[in-house]
Amino acid sequence: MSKILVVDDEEDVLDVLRLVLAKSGYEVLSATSGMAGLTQAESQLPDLIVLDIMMQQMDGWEVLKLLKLDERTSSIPVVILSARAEPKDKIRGLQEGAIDYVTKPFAVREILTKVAALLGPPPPRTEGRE
Amino acid sequence: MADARVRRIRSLRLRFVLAIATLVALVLVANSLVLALANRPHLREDLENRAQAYARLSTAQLCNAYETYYASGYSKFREIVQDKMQLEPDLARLAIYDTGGRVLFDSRELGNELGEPGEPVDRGDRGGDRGQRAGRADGRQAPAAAGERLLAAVQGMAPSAWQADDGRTYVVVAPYVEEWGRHRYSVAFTFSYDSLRLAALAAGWHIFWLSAGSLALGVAIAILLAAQSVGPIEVLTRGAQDIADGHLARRIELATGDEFGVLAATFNQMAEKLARTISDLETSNRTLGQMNLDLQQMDRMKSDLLANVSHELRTPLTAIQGYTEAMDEGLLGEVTGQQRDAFKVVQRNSRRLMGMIDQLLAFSRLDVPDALGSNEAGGARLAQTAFDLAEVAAQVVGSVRAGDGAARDLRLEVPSGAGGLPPVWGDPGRIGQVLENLVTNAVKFTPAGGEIRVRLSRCGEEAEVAVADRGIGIPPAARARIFERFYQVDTSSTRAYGGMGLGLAIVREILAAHGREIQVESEEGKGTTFRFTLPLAGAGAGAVPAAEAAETGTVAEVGTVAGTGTVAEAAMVAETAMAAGPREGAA
Repeated sequence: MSKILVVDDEEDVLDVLRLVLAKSGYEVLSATSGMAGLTQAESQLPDLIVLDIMMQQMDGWEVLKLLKLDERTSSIPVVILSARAEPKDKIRGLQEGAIDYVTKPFAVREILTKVAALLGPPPPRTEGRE
Repeated sequence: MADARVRRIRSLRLRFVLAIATLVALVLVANSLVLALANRPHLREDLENRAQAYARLSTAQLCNAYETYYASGYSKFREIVQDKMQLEPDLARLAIYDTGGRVLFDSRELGNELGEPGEPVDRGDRGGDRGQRAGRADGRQAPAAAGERLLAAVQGMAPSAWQADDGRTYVVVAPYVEEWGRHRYSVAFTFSYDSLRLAALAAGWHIFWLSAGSLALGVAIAILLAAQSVGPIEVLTRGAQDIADGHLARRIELATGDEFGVLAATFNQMAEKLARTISDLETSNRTLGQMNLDLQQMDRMKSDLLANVSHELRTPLTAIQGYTEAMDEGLLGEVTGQQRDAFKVVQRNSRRLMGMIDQLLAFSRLDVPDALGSNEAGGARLAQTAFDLAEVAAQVVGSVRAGDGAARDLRLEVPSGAGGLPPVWGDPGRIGQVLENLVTNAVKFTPAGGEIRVRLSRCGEEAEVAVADRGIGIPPAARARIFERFYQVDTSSTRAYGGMGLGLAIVREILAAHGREIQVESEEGKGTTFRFTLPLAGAGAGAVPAAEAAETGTVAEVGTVAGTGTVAEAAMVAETAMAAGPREGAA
């Protein structure tokens, strides 16, 4: 089962993502800060990382840079999830190695579709499986 | 320049001295003339009086001496005559006549002995030597005394006196009458006026020296006076020059206590006032500059805040929308029909909220010339190109019709003949935003079933866009203000029609960045029409973008300038647009 790491310092947004992705059959790891996200990524080596940009202390840009510098994590695809909707931010994200850029507020369907495209369709629902 | 000023001052001083000196000299010359003229007759009279007195006193003695000694002892007589003549230096000559007018004796006979230049005596038969004189004392028959006047005087019994014709001598003739009444001789005294001339000359010299002294004194006083009155002027002038050269701290020190002192004090006051005014001006200039900076900073901060706020607002909306969608999708358990309807309401309203936030963000972006500077051109945020206006309009109309405008009769009219509307020049994305805002605005103020027309037409070298509704219209007083940000015709309309009052402000800003203006015509209760034009891409497409590019650097400024455009202007253009109406209808 594919492992997805979600990094966002907004607990509510994190919760809804975790809920939606878990319901879709992915294993979801979460981190509420850039530093925690980086640690998780290095120790758990997820299949995909959903990364928020505007975070306290270490922001998404820095996390992305460090992920791409570490050879263990550099190949993990990163989807940026940001409230910044300007084209220049999207371009920057893609230039720095993100595989996709989704703006907040997002449609649940959009996220699921993109994740599925990147990881392949989730296995048939096997709820309750850890 | 300064030299010229100083030279003028010097000449002022010189003129002053010259004026006083001339005045003194004139007065002195006049005085001397009067003195000399008045003195001369006085001296003459003095001499004549002296002569008459002398004649009276001397006649008897001279005649006695003549009788006693002339014939017998000539030397004695000569001595007496010489003594007599020495008593009166002005006496030039004396002659004794008998009553017949014959000359008995003439002082010129003494000639050499008297030390006077010997002149020929006009006595006809002058004797060769003195020896003969005694013998011929009575026998000399000289011709009549020279001149009838002299003869008459010599024969007269009374003394008489007159000036000689040449004016150089004074003649006094005194008769000698013996005690017993016999008139035997007369003596003619000739007085010279020469001494008079000398006296006059001496007086003249006195007057001259006096005048010269007075003149020197006058000039000295004049120089002093000039120094006293011109000196302060020079000090004043130097002070004024200094102040004019910008040395405002300079003060004129002049304590003369007269008008100059007052002038200097006034001047100092003026300089002080000037200095104060200038420093006040500088202070207020600095304050203004600081205020301007503060304002700019506040404006930037406001825009930053707006951007941050809209970013921050997105985050909670994300959670709201996410959960609602998740529930709607049934991810959180079975959903009833009623719940599903409620989710739809939540979703619709959060979308509306998003729309407003987007608008806010769009506006703040219009305001801030690329704070993050991703664009190399700095503030050039218009991506202008030739594009198909009809296509953009169709997209906008289509999306509005699919959304909020579903219940209205929303139609797009595009010219059909000859290939339709040519491409226009502009930023298609921004123009799309303008159209969307105008159409959304029209939808907002048009009741369900109402008519909204988006009409594109060609107008010379321009394409005109008109968005007309049959809505509530805009009161005339509000027409100029609807393009201000956050403005609503009345505050209750916020509740009734929603929105933040940013849509039209964004329209105006974007069009201003294109160098265009938005015009509005409206009638209350009948509807409103907004119009704007865009240049056709074919018509000088090379020139227009250049002009546009120049403007885009300062979009915010262009927007502000356009925003202050007068209402009258807008109204005028609106009328023009109305007049052009039928033609468009035909198109």
